[in-house]
Amino acid sequence: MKKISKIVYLLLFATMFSCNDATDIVQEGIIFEEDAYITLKDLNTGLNGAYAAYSPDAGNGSILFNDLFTDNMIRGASNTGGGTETYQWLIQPNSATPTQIWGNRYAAINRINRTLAAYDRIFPTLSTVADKNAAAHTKANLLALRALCHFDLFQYFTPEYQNPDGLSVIKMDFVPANYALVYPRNTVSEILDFVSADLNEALTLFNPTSTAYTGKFYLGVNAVNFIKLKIALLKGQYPIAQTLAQTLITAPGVPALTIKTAYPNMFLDTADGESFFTLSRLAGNNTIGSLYYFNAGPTTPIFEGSRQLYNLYDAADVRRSVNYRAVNVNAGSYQLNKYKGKGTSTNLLNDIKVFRTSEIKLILAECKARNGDLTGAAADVRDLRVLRIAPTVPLPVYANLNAALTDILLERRKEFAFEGHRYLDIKRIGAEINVGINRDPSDAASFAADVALSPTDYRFTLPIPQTEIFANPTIQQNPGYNQ
Amino acid sequence: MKSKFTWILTLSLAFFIQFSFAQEKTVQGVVSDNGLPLPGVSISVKGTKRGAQTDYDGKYTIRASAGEKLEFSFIGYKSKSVIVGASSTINVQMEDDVLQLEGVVVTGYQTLKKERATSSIASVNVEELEERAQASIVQNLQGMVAGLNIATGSGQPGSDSTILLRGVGSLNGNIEPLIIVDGMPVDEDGFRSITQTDIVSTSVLKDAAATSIYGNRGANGVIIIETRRGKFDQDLDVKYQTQYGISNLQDFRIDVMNTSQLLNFQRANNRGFGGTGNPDQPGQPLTDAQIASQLDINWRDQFFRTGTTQQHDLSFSSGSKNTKNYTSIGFLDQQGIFIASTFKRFNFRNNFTGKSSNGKFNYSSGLSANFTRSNNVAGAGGNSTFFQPFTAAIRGLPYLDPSTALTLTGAPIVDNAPLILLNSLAFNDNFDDELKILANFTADYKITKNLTAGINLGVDYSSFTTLSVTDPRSFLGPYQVNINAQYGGIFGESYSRDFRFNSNTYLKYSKTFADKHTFDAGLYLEYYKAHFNGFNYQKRGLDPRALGTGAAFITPVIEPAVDAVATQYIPTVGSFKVQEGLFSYFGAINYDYDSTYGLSLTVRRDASFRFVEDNKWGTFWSVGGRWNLSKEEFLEDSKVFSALKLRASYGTSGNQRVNNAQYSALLLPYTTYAVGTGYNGTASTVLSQIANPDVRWEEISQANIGLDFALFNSKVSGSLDVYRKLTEDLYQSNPVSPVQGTSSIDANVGSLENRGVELALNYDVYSKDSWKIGVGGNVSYNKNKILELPESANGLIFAGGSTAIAEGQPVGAYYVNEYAGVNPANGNPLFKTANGGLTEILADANRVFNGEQLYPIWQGGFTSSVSYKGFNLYTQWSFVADLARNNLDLATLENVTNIADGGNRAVSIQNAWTTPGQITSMPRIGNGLNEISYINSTDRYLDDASYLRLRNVSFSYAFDKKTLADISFLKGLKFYVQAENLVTFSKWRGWDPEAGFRGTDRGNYPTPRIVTFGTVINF
Repeated sequence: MKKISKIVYLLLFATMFSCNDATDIVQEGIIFEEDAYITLKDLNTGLNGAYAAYSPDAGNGSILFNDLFTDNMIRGASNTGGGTETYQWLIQPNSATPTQIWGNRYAAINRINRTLAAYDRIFPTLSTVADKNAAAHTKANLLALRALCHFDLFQYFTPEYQNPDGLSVIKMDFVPANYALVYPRNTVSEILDFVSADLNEALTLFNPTSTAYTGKFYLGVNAVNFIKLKIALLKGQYPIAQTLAQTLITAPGVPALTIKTAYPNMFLDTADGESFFTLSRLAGNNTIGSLYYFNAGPTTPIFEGSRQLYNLYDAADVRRSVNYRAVNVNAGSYQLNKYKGKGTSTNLLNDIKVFRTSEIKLILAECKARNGDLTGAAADVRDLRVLRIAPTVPLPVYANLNAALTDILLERRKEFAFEGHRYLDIKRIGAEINVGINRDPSDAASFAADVALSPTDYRFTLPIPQTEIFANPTIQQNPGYNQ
Repeated sequence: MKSKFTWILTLSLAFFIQFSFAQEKTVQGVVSDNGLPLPGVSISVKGTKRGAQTDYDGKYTIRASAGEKLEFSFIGYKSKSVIVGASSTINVQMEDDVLQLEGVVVTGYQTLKKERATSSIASVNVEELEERAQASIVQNLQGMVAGLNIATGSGQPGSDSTILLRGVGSLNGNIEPLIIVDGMPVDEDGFRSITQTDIVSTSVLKDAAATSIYGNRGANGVIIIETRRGKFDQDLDVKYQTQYGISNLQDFRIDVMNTSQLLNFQRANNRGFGGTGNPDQPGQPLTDAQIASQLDINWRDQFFRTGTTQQHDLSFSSGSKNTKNYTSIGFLDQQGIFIASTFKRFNFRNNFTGKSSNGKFNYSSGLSANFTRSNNVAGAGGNSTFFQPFTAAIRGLPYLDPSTALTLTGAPIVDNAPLILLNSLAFNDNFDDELKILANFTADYKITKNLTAGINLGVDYSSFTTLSVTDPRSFLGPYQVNINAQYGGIFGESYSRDFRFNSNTYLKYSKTFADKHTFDAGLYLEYYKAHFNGFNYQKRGLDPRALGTGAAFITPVIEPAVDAVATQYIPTVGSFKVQEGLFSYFGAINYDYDSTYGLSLTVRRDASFRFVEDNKWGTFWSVGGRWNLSKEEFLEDSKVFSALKLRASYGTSGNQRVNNAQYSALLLPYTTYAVGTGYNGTASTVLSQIANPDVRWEEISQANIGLDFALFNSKVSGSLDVYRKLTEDLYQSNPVSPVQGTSSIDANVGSLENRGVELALNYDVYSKDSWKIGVGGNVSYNKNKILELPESANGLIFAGGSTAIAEGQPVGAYYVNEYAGVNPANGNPLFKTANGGLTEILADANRVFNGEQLYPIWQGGFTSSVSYKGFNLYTQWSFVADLARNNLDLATLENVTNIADGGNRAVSIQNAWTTPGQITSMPRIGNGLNEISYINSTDRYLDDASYLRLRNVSFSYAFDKKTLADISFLKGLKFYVQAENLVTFSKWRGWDPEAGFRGTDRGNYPTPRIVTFGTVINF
């Protein structure tokens, strides 16, 4: 019996000593803050994560939204209701798209700022010039990407681009010290100045001899200058913009406009073409085609292109067959072709073309028109059409600026369909010339939606999402969205 | 002076007993109950070690002397004592123990007489549950205990239920009670592995006085389950129970269209197959003859069946002088009512108890090993058209031909969803295996007369294996890689192990002073550690000829039509490993004065691995008191009160499970990073979580006042409890500005309360002439209210959907646009605006709290039992009331936005608005609002989900012992027939008003009606 009582005491004893084992647990496989970024290589993994976060091609993201909200899409045969609210313009602070764009860009910015903070720690520890240059090049990429994210947010959430004191988005150039901190919206001029400053600093840091983080998959000098061009355009500084566009379109490394025969290959990712900033998408990444199709194949459309857009294209226009496939007008079927896969692939995986030379060309045309050179504008538009339709397209004749902008807006619609431009183009150009959404009634019926929306409607600025409002008592909502 | 005298008296008495041994004689007799012999009654001679048991005929013999006291005791009967006189024959009539306040309460750390409990504890009558046919034992508890709500959201046999006691106590944290089996905490989600027949008692601890001692995990109440054990000095007892039965679908209460209705309706509206599907004239409507020639299929009949159930349980119990043993094996095979759902269980249990011959050392071990295999339905409740059989069962187009399902070709179009599902169900497998081992060991040693040391060790081990196969030859098989790929299909397995260890060591002291003052005190040390790990893989691309093992796996190859690089057929793999741990020490004191007054105190210190620094340890305490009024002189002779006890308690307990799942929220105080997929084919280091260093214990304090009573010679008994439960430092997802890289963080913010009243009553209506009629019932009322939210929320957190969290509102309060009918002018739906007007537009600004919520306010149940001789008719009803749920099934069937979307419709849409001025309840065909708009933003389909259900009815006959006397090997024989869910009264339109605690019901697996026939044989 004594033996047993000894065992009991022993067990009692053993249990008391194992206390720490139960309450100070170290979970395996976790990277804590102090171990996250130590070397230059770690710093680059931070940049890899920042680029990976930037996803206009996500579900409910900006690429789908631009066409779905406007007039380039209809409901597909395999749609079970998704997208209805966007198509019906039911945009509220808790809607998916404003939440996604705001959350996604700020998440990318947060990753960038964490990596930049690591840069400040790591850079002084680097000893070789090569390492320092490489680190600087990484920082240039981080700054350029931070500028791009802020610029995206600026376009979607700023009600008045040209009111320097108007409300814009939140400037984030640091990592908040704790989770409870919140920040008010900055003004238009504060954001644009900040974005410009990031871009200018990036230009001083890019390492021209770098072999890593260069090429069309990364933001380089030309992409940075293109963002600067777009800022000038938004500010209404058309002479400056025209000069920038003129310089950029012939700048070293900016590809020539893609010709008609090579145009499909650019979207099949079998040739680089005229895209000078492209988001790389590889196996395992997000497949942009699954925004439009249920299954790889692809035979099961969730969304199709609109009848109206299809009919806008000349039969000879290469963009019609690049954008549409298996069209059956009688059955009302207008399936999309743009993102079915690379080459002969049908796995819905394609790279995302973000900045293309065509856009510089059309911005140049717009600037010329705005600066009084209507024939110059017409010539630029024709240059592009020659490369899309036929060598003999007529030179358009613009009676006035309004006519020129109307035609340029239409050309942008045809050129950049399903690439995330249409909503922003109507917001920027449409409002000026009173061209809003005017859907074909049969297109609108596919979602039981209305046909027309004025370009000055408040919904051409997205609401500050509910996620921000809940956390942030200092935030101010955009006009039209009652809080 | 007095006590000294007592000592002397005791001493001389001892001498007397010593002396009187010489005059011992053999006493014999028969113990009976209502004239029937009662086997197994324990007889002891008070103050000695002499004991005996009655045999099969109720006879006993024992050595005793005149003047000694014989004590007769048997569970379920009042103990009797008789002083031995001159006669050597003592026959005893035992009486049923009908005094509800007596009996024993097991609390895991203590065993108390119920009359001495200061806390609110409800015991479940296990006999009423023993023959129930549910594969999960917790489902049997619904409606049995006041305040305990078991919600089962699926008809899959053995599916998990959500258990709520006294309302929702947390927003994000754990809301389910702690479950203790044989003194050992177990996973609250694993009840398919335990068989009901092994259970001997179930108690529910509700108030702080009872649960505070479970400190770190007792905040939501505690359910204590004890399994059967043998008896000392017991002959072998063998019990065989078997049942066989069938289960089928309960009523589906929406009228859906038949083929003729649907096609005629489509034709009238120029839409769909009926409007444009004429095979002879493209784009033209069908003719009457063409409509008449179509099939008319009820898809419910295609997806559901009459399932069969069979169960066998065999148990052996026996005991010798110092050991007792209980062993059971069982087998259950239950087919679900859905065509592809089955459940099989094999269970084994051995409970062994031993003691030293002086009774100072006791030990016991329990081992149960259970294996279950479920064939599951994936996709229930989801919105994937081709993976949602329960939606297809109500939306399937009635003119489709089910016989074409196995040979279906072409693109997967929505119209063919039911055919595609039938095809998938025929080809594909989805197995879920669980091996669960519960092992425990307890030992205690009486160091001195008053002091006992002990230990209780327990292991809850589960391993889960899942196998999911999409056959490449099935219709959806080729789509799993790419329709253009040569090979399709998916083969995926996962394996995980969950090991939880709990140890409790203690020192207990118990002493009675001066006959009237009894102290029980205990000091405890508890250690808990849990490990969960596993791995999984999924392989896409299978050779159908070799399907079944890895032999079918196709290695990555280039197929230009799919991808220019060999990316297809690359398997995905995963591996994980996590741990949890808790450490606590605590003490408890119970004081009793003359069984009349009692006081209990507990205090407990708990450390959780989830928190750091000052937040790591929590202190929880409780105090409870009771006053047994019936022991007072003024009630002693009362004709009304047989027993009356007033209880009051107040105390606190903690919740450290920040999210409502084991093994989640493991590292909240730290900012962590993870290795991720980087851009352009690289690896990345990215933020995975930002730190909340302040995360700490969620604390629940509860005040409870209760009354236990037995009236009119215990014909009526019951208890009444009133409580207020306050949760502070509430776990909720605290909104964080997205500039932080996330939009919410788990934090302790705000508070909520539950207030309620519970009443349980039992009434022995009649008990005479072999008749016994009794009724019982319980009802509880619980009002939940959120008191405080994060400051930045301005009293309201609304993140889309139909519910919002707001101060002053209950958890799960609906926040919606109020539907105001159809605009007679244009047929569009109308909604109320915030200032009382009407609008056709849904806007968040017009949302209101409409006073409805998803958790029930009222719930309860009642039972009745009528016995005559061996016959018994038992019924158990349960109800929940005052709750609402979004009826997405109905909303989908009443979608008039697009009536040709590949699904059938409810008959009610025939009333759709057509003409200006028309007054109708159904908006016009083609209006812009679909079912999702209604569900997310309005109350149009927010339906009352209250129900009253005849949960169980059983009719049995037990042969009496006289009849069986001729069959020497039979000790007992009973036959019964019983039914689960036979009748339901509810306003709910759809499958099943009982649907778990869901805000929205869409295509869920409805719970079945089960009828079984069974027999119990004792050898």
